[in-house]
Amino acid sequence: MTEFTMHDALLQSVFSFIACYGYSIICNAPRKELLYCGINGFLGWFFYVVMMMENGSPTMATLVATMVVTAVSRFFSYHREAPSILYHIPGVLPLVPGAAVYNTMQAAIESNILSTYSYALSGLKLSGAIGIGSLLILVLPYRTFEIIPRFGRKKS
Amino acid sequence: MLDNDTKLLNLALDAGEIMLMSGAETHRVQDTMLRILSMSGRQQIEALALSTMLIVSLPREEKGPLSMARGVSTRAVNFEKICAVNSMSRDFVSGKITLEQATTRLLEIHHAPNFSDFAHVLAYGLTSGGFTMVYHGNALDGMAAFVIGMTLGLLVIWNGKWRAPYFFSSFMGGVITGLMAWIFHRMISETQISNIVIGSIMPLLPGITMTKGIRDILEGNFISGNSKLMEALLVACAIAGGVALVFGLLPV
Repeated sequence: MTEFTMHDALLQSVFSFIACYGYSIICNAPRKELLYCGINGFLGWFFYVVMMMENGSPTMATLVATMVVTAVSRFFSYHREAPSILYHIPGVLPLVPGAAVYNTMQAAIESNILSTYSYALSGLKLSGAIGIGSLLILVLPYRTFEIIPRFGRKKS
Repeated sequence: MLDNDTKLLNLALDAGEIMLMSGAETHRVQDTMLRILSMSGRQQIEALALSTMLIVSLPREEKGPLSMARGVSTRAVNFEKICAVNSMSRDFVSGKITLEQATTRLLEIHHAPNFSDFAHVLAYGLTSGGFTMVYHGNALDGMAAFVIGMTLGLLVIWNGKWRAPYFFSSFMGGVITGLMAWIFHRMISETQISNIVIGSIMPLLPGITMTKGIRDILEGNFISGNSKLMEALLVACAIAGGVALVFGLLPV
Protein backbone atom coordinates (compact mmCIF):
# COMPACT_ATOMS: atom_id res chain seq x y z
CA MET A 1 0.00 0.00 0.00
CA THR A 2 1.34 3.44 -0.88
CA GLU A 3 2.11 6.02 1.80
CA PHE A 4 -0.63 8.57 2.40
CA THR A 5 -0.08 12.18 3.33
CA MET A 6 -2.73 14.56 4.68
CA HIS A 7 -2.67 16.46 1.39
CA ASP A 8 -3.40 13.26 -0.57
CA ALA A 9 -6.17 12.36 1.87
CA LEU A 10 -7.95 15.68 1.40
CA LEU A 11 -7.54 15.64 -2.39
CA GLN A 12 -8.88 12.09 -2.68
CA SER A 13 -11.78 12.94 -0.38
CA VAL A 14 -12.73 15.88 -2.59
CA PHE A 15 -12.84 13.51 -5.58
CA SER A 16 -14.89 11.13 -3.43
CA PHE A 17 -17.32 14.02 -2.87
CA ILE A 18 -17.66 14.51 -6.65
CA ALA A 19 -18.11 10.79 -7.28
CA CYS A 20 -20.75 10.37 -4.57
CA TYR A 21 -22.58 13.48 -5.81
CA GLY A 22 -22.72 11.85 -9.25
CA TYR A 23 -23.82 8.52 -7.82
CA SER A 24 -26.71 10.08 -5.93
CA ILE A 25 -27.89 11.59 -9.23
CA ILE A 26 -27.79 8.05 -10.72
CA CYS A 27 -29.92 6.91 -7.76
CA ASN A 28 -32.40 9.78 -8.33
CA ALA A 29 -31.95 11.37 -4.92
CA PRO A 30 -34.05 14.51 -4.31
CA ARG A 31 -32.27 17.61 -5.59
CA LYS A 32 -31.95 19.38 -2.25
CA GLU A 33 -30.32 16.33 -0.62
CA LEU A 34 -27.54 15.84 -3.21
CA LEU A 35 -25.08 18.06 -1.31
CA TYR A 36 -25.49 16.05 1.88
CA CYS A 37 -24.93 12.73 0.04
CA GLY A 38 -21.69 14.20 -1.31
CA ILE A 39 -20.59 15.34 2.17
CA ASN A 40 -21.20 11.82 3.44
CA GLY A 41 -19.01 10.39 0.68
CA PHE A 42 -16.29 12.90 1.56
CA LEU A 43 -16.39 11.90 5.24
CA GLY A 44 -16.40 8.17 4.47
CA TRP A 45 -13.24 8.23 2.36
CA PHE A 46 -11.53 10.78 4.64
CA PHE A 47 -11.95 8.60 7.72
CA TYR A 48 -10.87 5.52 5.75
CA VAL A 49 -7.60 7.19 4.70
CA VAL A 50 -6.94 8.56 8.18
CA MET A 51 -7.48 5.12 9.69
CA MET A 52 -5.19 3.61 7.04
CA MET A 53 -2.48 6.10 8.09
CA GLU A 54 -2.94 5.28 11.78
CA ASN A 55 -3.59 1.55 11.70
CA GLY A 56 -2.83 0.15 8.26
CA SER A 57 -5.51 -2.53 8.24
CA PRO A 58 -8.11 -2.08 5.45
CA THR A 59 -10.77 -4.08 7.33
CA MET A 60 -10.44 -1.97 10.47
CA ALA A 61 -10.42 1.24 8.41
CA THR A 62 -13.56 0.14 6.52
CA LEU A 63 -15.30 -0.74 9.78
CA VAL A 64 -14.58 2.62 11.39
CA ALA A 65 -15.39 4.62 8.24
CA THR A 66 -18.69 2.74 7.84
CA MET A 67 -19.60 3.48 11.46
CA VAL A 68 -18.88 7.17 10.92
CA VAL A 69 -20.88 7.25 7.68
CA THR A 70 -23.86 5.45 9.24
CA ALA A 71 -23.89 7.75 12.27
CA VAL A 72 -23.70 10.83 10.06
CA SER A 73 -26.44 9.56 7.76
CA ARG A 74 -28.77 8.88 10.69
CA PHE A 75 -27.96 12.35 11.98
CA PHE A 76 -28.82 13.85 8.56
CA SER A 77 -31.92 11.67 8.45
CA TYR A 78 -33.17 13.30 11.65
CA HIS A 79 -32.27 16.84 10.66
CA ARG A 80 -33.45 16.68 7.03
CA GLU A 81 -36.49 14.44 7.70
CA ALA A 82 -35.64 11.85 5.03
CA PRO A 83 -34.91 8.09 5.20
CA SER A 84 -31.34 7.40 6.32
CA ILE A 85 -30.68 4.98 3.41
CA LEU A 86 -30.61 8.03 1.13
CA TYR A 87 -27.36 9.25 2.72
CA HIS A 88 -26.04 5.84 3.70
CA ILE A 89 -25.68 4.31 0.22
CA PRO A 90 -23.56 7.08 -1.40
CA GLY A 91 -21.49 7.34 1.78
CA VAL A 92 -20.64 3.64 1.87
CA LEU A 93 -19.97 3.42 -1.88
CA PRO A 94 -16.25 4.40 -1.83
CA LEU A 95 -15.66 1.60 0.70
CA VAL A 96 -17.23 -1.10 -1.51
CA PRO A 97 -14.37 -3.47 -2.47
CA GLY A 98 -14.28 -2.84 -6.22
CA ALA A 99 -10.52 -3.40 -6.31
CA ALA A 100 -11.02 -6.85 -4.77
CA VAL A 101 -13.43 -7.78 -7.59
CA TYR A 102 -10.91 -6.60 -10.20
CA ASN A 103 -7.96 -8.38 -8.56
CA THR A 104 -9.97 -11.61 -8.18
CA MET A 105 -10.85 -11.49 -11.87
CA GLN A 106 -7.26 -10.73 -12.85
CA ALA A 107 -5.93 -13.63 -10.78
CA ALA A 108 -8.57 -15.95 -12.22
CA ILE A 109 -7.51 -15.08 -15.79
CA GLU A 110 -3.91 -15.89 -14.91
CA SER A 111 -5.09 -19.26 -13.45
CA ASN A 112 -3.54 -18.30 -10.12
CA ILE A 113 -5.95 -20.21 -7.87
CA LEU A 114 -4.34 -19.22 -4.56
CA SER A 115 -4.48 -15.47 -5.30
CA THR A 116 -8.02 -15.81 -6.63
CA TYR A 117 -9.21 -17.24 -3.33
CA SER A 118 -7.26 -14.78 -1.20
CA TYR A 119 -8.56 -11.75 -3.12
CA ALA A 120 -12.13 -13.09 -3.06
CA LEU A 121 -11.90 -13.69 0.70
CA SER A 122 -10.47 -10.22 1.32
CA GLY A 123 -13.43 -8.80 -0.63
CA LEU A 124 -15.83 -10.81 1.52
CA LYS A 125 -14.05 -9.59 4.68
CA LEU A 126 -14.47 -5.96 3.61
CA SER A 127 -18.16 -6.54 2.78
CA GLY A 128 -18.64 -8.06 6.22
CA ALA A 129 -16.94 -5.05 7.80
CA ILE A 130 -19.40 -2.75 5.98
CA GLY A 131 -22.37 -4.82 7.19
CA ILE A 132 -21.22 -5.05 10.81
CA GLY A 133 -20.16 -1.40 10.92
CA SER A 134 -23.57 -0.19 9.75
CA LEU A 135 -25.42 -2.59 12.06
CA LEU A 136 -23.46 -1.44 15.14
CA ILE A 137 -24.81 2.08 14.59
CA LEU A 138 -28.26 1.06 13.31
CA VAL A 139 -29.11 -0.76 16.58
CA LEU A 140 -28.71 2.48 18.54
CA PRO A 141 -32.10 3.98 19.44
CA TYR A 142 -33.34 6.87 17.32
CA ARG A 143 -33.12 9.25 20.32
CA THR A 144 -29.31 9.10 20.24
CA PHE A 145 -29.32 11.32 17.17
CA GLU A 146 -31.73 13.88 18.60
CA ILE A 147 -29.20 15.39 21.03
CA ILE A 148 -28.85 18.50 18.88
CA PRO A 149 -32.28 19.98 18.17
CA ARG A 150 -33.34 20.76 14.62
CA PHE A 151 -32.34 24.23 13.56
CA GLY A 152 -34.89 26.33 11.74
CA ARG A 153 -37.10 23.40 10.66
CA LYS A 154 -40.11 22.51 12.72
CA LYS A 155 -41.55 19.00 12.92
CA SER A 156 -44.48 18.72 10.53
CA MET B 1 -67.49 -1.00 -6.00
CA LEU B 2 -64.62 -1.80 -3.69
CA ASP B 3 -65.20 -1.60 0.03
CA ASN B 4 -62.97 0.37 2.37
CA ASP B 5 -60.82 -2.56 3.52
CA THR B 6 -59.94 -3.57 -0.05
CA LYS B 7 -59.02 0.01 -0.89
CA LEU B 8 -56.77 0.18 2.17
CA LEU B 9 -55.06 -3.09 1.23
CA ASN B 10 -54.57 -1.82 -2.33
CA LEU B 11 -53.05 1.41 -1.02
CA ALA B 12 -50.65 -0.52 1.21
CA LEU B 13 -49.65 -2.82 -1.67
CA ASP B 14 -49.14 0.08 -4.08
CA ALA B 15 -47.00 1.96 -1.56
CA GLY B 16 -44.99 -1.19 -0.84
CA GLU B 17 -44.53 -1.93 -4.53
CA ILE B 18 -43.23 1.56 -5.31
CA MET B 19 -40.82 1.43 -2.35
CA LEU B 20 -39.53 -2.08 -3.15
CA MET B 21 -39.09 -1.15 -6.83
CA SER B 22 -37.14 1.95 -5.82
CA GLY B 23 -34.71 -0.06 -3.71
CA ALA B 24 -35.91 0.47 -0.12
CA GLU B 25 -34.88 -1.95 2.64
CA THR B 26 -37.22 -4.83 3.41
CA HIS B 27 -37.98 -3.74 6.96
CA ARG B 28 -38.79 -0.19 5.87
CA VAL B 29 -41.32 -1.53 3.34
CA GLN B 30 -42.88 -3.71 6.05
CA ASP B 31 -43.05 -0.77 8.48
CA THR B 32 -44.74 1.48 5.92
CA MET B 33 -47.33 -1.15 4.95
CA LEU B 34 -48.06 -1.93 8.62
CA ARG B 35 -48.46 1.79 9.32
CA ILE B 36 -50.96 2.20 6.49
CA LEU B 37 -52.88 -0.95 7.51
CA SER B 38 -53.04 0.20 11.15
CA MET B 39 -55.53 2.87 9.96
CA SER B 40 -58.14 0.11 9.66
CA GLY B 41 -58.23 -0.02 13.47
CA ARG B 42 -58.18 -3.83 13.52
CA GLN B 43 -55.94 -6.15 15.51
CA GLN B 44 -53.51 -8.77 14.15
CA ILE B 45 -52.83 -7.15 10.81
CA GLU B 46 -49.91 -8.61 8.88
CA ALA B 47 -47.59 -7.14 6.26
CA LEU B 48 -44.77 -9.18 4.80
CA ALA B 49 -42.15 -8.13 2.26
CA LEU B 50 -39.64 -10.40 0.57
CA SER B 51 -37.15 -9.25 -2.04
CA THR B 52 -39.61 -9.79 -4.92
CA MET B 53 -43.06 -10.13 -3.34
CA LEU B 54 -45.47 -8.51 -0.92
CA ILE B 55 -48.23 -10.07 1.20
CA VAL B 56 -50.73 -8.16 3.31
CA SER B 57 -53.64 -9.55 5.30
CA LEU B 58 -56.44 -8.12 7.38
CA PRO B 59 -58.58 -10.33 9.67
CA ARG B 60 -62.24 -9.30 9.71
CA GLU B 61 -64.68 -10.93 12.11
CA GLU B 62 -67.83 -9.97 10.20
CA LYS B 63 -66.91 -10.89 6.59
CA GLY B 64 -63.97 -13.26 6.92
CA PRO B 65 -60.26 -12.49 6.52
CA LEU B 66 -58.91 -10.55 3.54
CA SER B 67 -55.45 -11.21 2.11
CA MET B 68 -53.63 -10.02 -1.00
CA ALA B 69 -50.24 -10.72 -2.55
CA ARG B 70 -48.28 -9.03 -5.29
CA GLY B 71 -45.10 -9.81 -7.20
CA VAL B 72 -42.58 -7.05 -7.84
CA SER B 73 -40.24 -7.44 -10.78
CA THR B 74 -38.49 -4.46 -12.35
CA ARG B 75 -36.11 -2.47 -10.22
CA ALA B 76 -34.46 0.92 -10.67
CA VAL B 77 -33.06 2.71 -7.64
CA ASN B 78 -34.97 5.91 -6.98
CA PHE B 79 -34.54 7.54 -3.57
CA GLU B 80 -36.90 10.40 -4.33
CA LYS B 81 -39.85 8.00 -4.57
CA ILE B 82 -38.90 6.34 -1.28
CA CYS B 83 -38.87 9.72 0.45
CA ALA B 84 -42.18 10.73 -1.14
CA VAL B 85 -43.99 7.48 -0.22
CA ASN B 86 -42.58 7.68 3.31
CA SER B 87 -43.93 11.18 3.90
CA MET B 88 -47.24 10.23 2.22
CA SER B 89 -47.71 7.35 4.66
CA ARG B 90 -46.94 9.61 7.62
CA ASP B 91 -49.46 12.21 6.42
CA PHE B 92 -52.05 9.47 5.90
CA VAL B 93 -51.58 8.00 9.38
CA SER B 94 -51.67 11.38 11.09
CA GLY B 95 -55.02 12.01 9.38
CA LYS B 96 -53.93 14.93 7.17
CA ILE B 97 -55.13 13.26 3.94
CA THR B 98 -57.97 10.84 3.26
CA LEU B 99 -57.77 7.44 1.58
CA GLU B 100 -58.76 8.88 -1.82
CA GLN B 101 -56.23 11.71 -1.59
CA ALA B 102 -53.54 9.22 -0.58
CA THR B 103 -54.33 7.04 -3.61
CA THR B 104 -54.11 9.96 -6.04
CA ARG B 105 -50.89 11.17 -4.40
CA LEU B 106 -49.37 7.70 -4.81
CA LEU B 107 -50.28 7.82 -8.51
CA GLU B 108 -48.56 11.21 -8.83
CA ILE B 109 -45.45 9.82 -7.10
CA HIS B 110 -45.42 6.83 -9.45
CA HIS B 111 -45.44 9.06 -12.54
CA ALA B 112 -43.10 11.73 -11.16
CA PRO B 113 -40.23 12.63 -13.54
CA ASN B 114 -36.65 11.61 -12.75
CA PHE B 115 -33.46 13.40 -13.65
CA SER B 116 -33.08 13.79 -17.42
CA ASP B 117 -31.10 11.22 -19.41
CA PHE B 118 -28.40 13.83 -20.06
CA ALA B 119 -27.94 14.39 -16.31
CA HIS B 120 -27.72 10.62 -15.79
CA VAL B 121 -25.03 10.20 -18.47
CA LEU B 122 -23.02 13.08 -16.98
CA ALA B 123 -23.45 11.61 -13.48
CA TYR B 124 -22.09 8.22 -14.65
CA GLY B 125 -19.07 10.04 -16.05
CA LEU B 126 -18.53 11.96 -12.79
CA THR B 127 -18.81 8.79 -10.69
CA SER B 128 -16.38 6.77 -12.82
CA GLY B 129 -13.87 9.59 -13.18
CA GLY B 130 -14.12 10.56 -9.52
CA PHE B 131 -13.55 7.03 -8.23
CA THR B 132 -10.57 6.55 -10.53
CA MET B 133 -9.02 9.65 -8.98
CA VAL B 134 -9.92 8.41 -5.47
CA TYR B 135 -8.17 5.10 -6.07
CA HIS B 136 -4.73 6.63 -6.86
CA GLY B 137 -5.26 7.25 -10.58
CA ASN B 138 -3.51 10.15 -12.33
CA ALA B 139 -5.33 12.88 -14.25
CA LEU B 140 -5.18 11.00 -17.58
CA ASP B 141 -6.75 7.92 -15.96
CA GLY B 142 -9.48 10.15 -14.57
CA MET B 143 -10.31 11.63 -17.98
CA ALA B 144 -10.34 8.20 -19.63
CA ALA B 145 -12.66 6.90 -16.90
CA PHE B 146 -14.91 9.94 -17.37
CA VAL B 147 -15.40 9.05 -21.04
CA ILE B 148 -15.90 5.35 -20.22
CA GLY B 149 -18.41 6.28 -17.52
CA MET B 150 -20.48 8.35 -19.96
CA THR B 151 -20.50 5.42 -22.40
CA LEU B 152 -21.65 3.13 -19.59
CA GLY B 153 -24.41 5.61 -18.78
CA LEU B 154 -25.61 5.53 -22.41
CA LEU B 155 -25.48 1.71 -22.31
CA VAL B 156 -27.49 1.48 -19.07
CA ILE B 157 -30.15 3.89 -20.38
CA TRP B 158 -30.35 2.04 -23.71
CA ASN B 159 -30.65 -1.31 -21.90
CA GLY B 160 -33.40 0.14 -19.72
CA LYS B 161 -35.35 1.20 -22.84
CA TRP B 162 -35.64 -2.31 -24.25
CA ARG B 163 -35.71 -4.02 -20.82
CA ALA B 164 -32.56 -6.09 -21.20
CA PRO B 165 -31.97 -8.82 -18.60
CA TYR B 166 -29.85 -7.28 -15.83
CA PHE B 167 -27.21 -10.00 -16.11
CA PHE B 168 -26.68 -9.15 -19.79
CA SER B 169 -26.58 -5.44 -18.97
CA SER B 170 -23.80 -5.92 -16.41
CA PHE B 171 -21.90 -8.25 -18.74
CA MET B 172 -22.03 -5.70 -21.57
CA GLY B 173 -20.87 -3.01 -19.12
CA GLY B 174 -17.84 -5.12 -18.24
CA VAL B 175 -17.01 -5.79 -21.91
CA ILE B 176 -17.22 -2.11 -22.84
CA THR B 177 -15.16 -1.04 -19.82
CA GLY B 178 -12.42 -3.54 -20.60
CA LEU B 179 -12.37 -2.73 -24.32
CA MET B 180 -12.25 1.05 -23.88
CA ALA B 181 -9.65 0.87 -21.08
CA TRP B 182 -7.48 -1.27 -23.36
CA ILE B 183 -7.87 1.19 -26.25
CA PHE B 184 -7.00 4.14 -23.99
CA HIS B 185 -3.93 2.32 -22.70
CA ARG B 186 -2.82 1.62 -26.28
CA MET B 187 -3.27 5.27 -27.29
CA ILE B 188 -1.73 6.87 -24.18
CA SER B 189 0.82 4.64 -22.51
CA GLU B 190 0.92 6.64 -19.22
CA THR B 191 -2.55 5.38 -18.30
CA GLN B 192 -2.91 2.26 -16.17
CA ILE B 193 -5.56 -0.28 -17.15
CA SER B 194 -6.16 -1.43 -13.55
CA ASN B 195 -6.85 2.10 -12.27
CA ILE B 196 -9.24 2.90 -15.11
CA VAL B 197 -11.17 -0.37 -14.80
CA ILE B 198 -11.49 -0.27 -10.99
CA GLY B 199 -12.86 3.27 -11.10
CA SER B 200 -15.10 2.77 -14.12
CA ILE B 201 -16.96 -0.30 -12.89
CA MET B 202 -17.85 1.45 -9.61
CA PRO B 203 -21.31 2.73 -10.74
CA LEU B 204 -22.16 -0.76 -12.06
CA LEU B 205 -21.02 -2.73 -8.99
CA PRO B 206 -23.90 -3.95 -6.81
CA GLY B 207 -22.80 -2.02 -3.72
CA ILE B 208 -26.37 -1.16 -2.75
CA THR B 209 -27.62 -4.72 -3.12
CA MET B 210 -24.70 -6.18 -1.18
CA THR B 211 -24.94 -3.72 1.73
CA LYS B 212 -28.69 -4.21 1.98
CA GLY B 213 -28.30 -7.99 1.79
CA ILE B 214 -25.82 -8.08 4.67
CA ARG B 215 -28.01 -5.77 6.71
CA ASP B 216 -31.07 -7.93 6.03
CA ILE B 217 -29.23 -11.05 7.16
CA LEU B 218 -27.91 -9.41 10.30
CA GLU B 219 -31.44 -8.23 11.10
CA GLY B 220 -32.84 -11.76 10.68
CA ASN B 221 -34.54 -11.48 7.25
CA PHE B 222 -32.68 -14.49 5.88
CA ILE B 223 -34.71 -15.09 2.72
CA SER B 224 -34.45 -11.59 1.27
CA GLY B 225 -30.88 -11.24 2.54
CA ASN B 226 -29.74 -14.41 0.85
CA SER B 227 -31.44 -13.61 -2.45
CA LYS B 228 -29.93 -10.11 -2.45
CA LEU B 229 -26.45 -11.47 -1.75
CA MET B 230 -26.93 -14.00 -4.56
CA GLU B 231 -27.97 -11.21 -6.92
CA ALA B 232 -24.96 -9.11 -5.90
CA LEU B 233 -22.63 -12.04 -6.46
CA LEU B 234 -24.17 -12.73 -9.87
CA VAL B 235 -23.86 -9.11 -11.02
CA ALA B 236 -20.28 -8.84 -9.76
CA CYS B 237 -19.41 -12.08 -11.60
CA ALA B 238 -21.08 -10.77 -14.76
CA ILE B 239 -19.04 -7.55 -14.71
CA ALA B 240 -15.82 -9.39 -13.92
CA GLY B 241 -16.63 -11.93 -16.65
CA GLY B 242 -17.14 -9.16 -19.18
CA VAL B 243 -13.80 -7.55 -18.35
CA ALA B 244 -12.10 -10.96 -18.23
CA LEU B 245 -13.44 -11.85 -21.69
CA VAL B 246 -11.78 -8.77 -23.17
CA PHE B 247 -8.47 -9.19 -21.34
CA GLY B 248 -8.40 -12.89 -22.10
CA LEU B 249 -8.78 -12.26 -25.85
CA LEU B 250 -6.64 -9.13 -26.26
CA PRO B 251 -2.87 -9.02 -25.74
CA VAL B 252 -2.17 -6.79 -22.70
